[in-house]
Amino acid sequence: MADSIFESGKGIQATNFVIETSIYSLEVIKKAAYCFLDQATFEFKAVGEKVECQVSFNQPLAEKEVIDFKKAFDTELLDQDLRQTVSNETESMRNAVLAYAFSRTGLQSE
Amino acid sequence: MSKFKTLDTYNESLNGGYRLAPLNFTTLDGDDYVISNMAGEYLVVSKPNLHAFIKHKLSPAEPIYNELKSKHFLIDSDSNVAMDLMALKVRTKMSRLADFTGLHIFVVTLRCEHSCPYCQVSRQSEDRAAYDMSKETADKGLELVFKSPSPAIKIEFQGGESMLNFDIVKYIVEEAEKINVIERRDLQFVIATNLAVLTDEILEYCRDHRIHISSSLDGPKELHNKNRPRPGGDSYERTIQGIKRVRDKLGRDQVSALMTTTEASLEQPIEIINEYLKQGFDGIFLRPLSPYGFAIKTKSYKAYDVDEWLDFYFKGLEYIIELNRSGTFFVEQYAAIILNKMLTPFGTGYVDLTSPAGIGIGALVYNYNGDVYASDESRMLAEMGDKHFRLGNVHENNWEEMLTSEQLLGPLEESFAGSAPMCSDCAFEPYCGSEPVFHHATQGDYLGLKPTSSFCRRNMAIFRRLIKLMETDSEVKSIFMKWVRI
Repeated sequence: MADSIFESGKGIQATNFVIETSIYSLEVIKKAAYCFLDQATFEFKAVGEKVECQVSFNQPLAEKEVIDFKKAFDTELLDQDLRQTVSNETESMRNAVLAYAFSRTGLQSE
Repeated sequence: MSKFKTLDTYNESLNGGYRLAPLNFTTLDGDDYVISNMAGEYLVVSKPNLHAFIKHKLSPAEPIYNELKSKHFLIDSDSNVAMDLMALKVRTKMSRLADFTGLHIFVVTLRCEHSCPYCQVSRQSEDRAAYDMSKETADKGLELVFKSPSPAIKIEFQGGESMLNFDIVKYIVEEAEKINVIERRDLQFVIATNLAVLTDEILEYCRDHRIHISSSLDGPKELHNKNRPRPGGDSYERTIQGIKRVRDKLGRDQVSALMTTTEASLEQPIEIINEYLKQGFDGIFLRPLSPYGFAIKTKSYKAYDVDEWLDFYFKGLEYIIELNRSGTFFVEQYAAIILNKMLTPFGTGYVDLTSPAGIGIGALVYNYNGDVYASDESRMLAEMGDKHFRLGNVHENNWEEMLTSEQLLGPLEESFAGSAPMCSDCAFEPYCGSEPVFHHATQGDYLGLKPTSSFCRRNMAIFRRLIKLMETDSEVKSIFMKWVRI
């Protein structure tokens, strides 16, 4: 992940992540970003095999806070990637369980 | 033929021979994660174990392996029935959906002699009879009540102060009892009342018709009277006297009380709990204010934020746990609802903590003027002029029209946590709710943006704390086990 930082007198207002799509899918990146919408807004741009992620913080942050934000974002990316692994592997089982759980309840549509 | 399986059989799972079952995971704290399955069973695992497990690198020799297996997080060659069991548990948890709408709330009047600044239903002054329910409206409401497929029907009377229109309460009770001779449902009645206008005649009627009384007690005298002003400033005295009279006439268990947290309550969690103990209750429901009615107009709702309320809640919970440790059985009822979801296969009828949302499915509200709302909160919102969740009117619409209306199905579908961003990945989703009315009121849409949702923040903090307490202290887990209904 390569980064650039946009700073004003009040602190850091925005930063830029570059993420390899061979490592994390766009869906994983978007899901991770969603979790931080209380702290920042995100703008994505596909550049070849990479995604440029422009992060604008809701409030200017100190440098350490930006580092903590990045760490938390990295952890979330990894978690979302694992979730996608679980989801891909268990989707058919999840559907089977739900189908059985709702069978003969009269609630499912014909 | 050998009586024993070969060694290779047992080595199968060692070579990655297990499948993952559907699960969600969420951080607990530090490097610990909570994982939960579709039925809400959970386990706390370390980050290295979680990664090894999901990447099929977890050895059966690891102690966590068998725990994961026993709670249906993984399936190997000798756990083939795991998914059948899981489906049964999910079916049990969702069974309330087939028997929907057990709670029917009749708002018999909006009149009230109290003038609580936090009132969430926008009461009207006592002398305005225009806000009373008529017999014609009650009849039409009752027709709808018995359209519900639920084998158990609870009719709750609310206000304003419901006892100010007790004639209509009596009418509804007697008409419902007549209908139920044929219907043969498990029929119960509850009156929500501040007890201030309770009479012996009303008490005798409640005794004869086995009507439960639900009242409000905000804490010690000074706090209660500050929160709940009325002419004479004697709300506390009337409430306490009323509780005693109900117990004497109807029985000890026939009266319950609810509290509401105001800004003035925040510093007094222990005092509030002690008041409940003093009055002989064996539990308390520590409730935050909701963003409706006068709570918004008088800015009571904005007087404290979710973190301040959580601080209040956790201080109270800690004190209640200590009471239990020292031998006094006492329950925090919100925690008990959540623990019931965490520790048993049963769901809850508590509207806030259900997904699909409890609106319509859990309760219907028949307002004094015949308007039908999807929940109590929906009619509170309507009294502020927002009728998003008005399903129809008893004089104009039938059951099918209201229960299949876009006003109900739209928010139910849009807010469903199982397909909502963040919620669908959250390990706490089986314990949580979707609350479209709250999110509509606070964020302007049914789903809500979860990272900024105070509902999400409040509940996540409570889920984490309850699990953390059970994981770190076996005595607390034993106490919590006593709080759940088995």
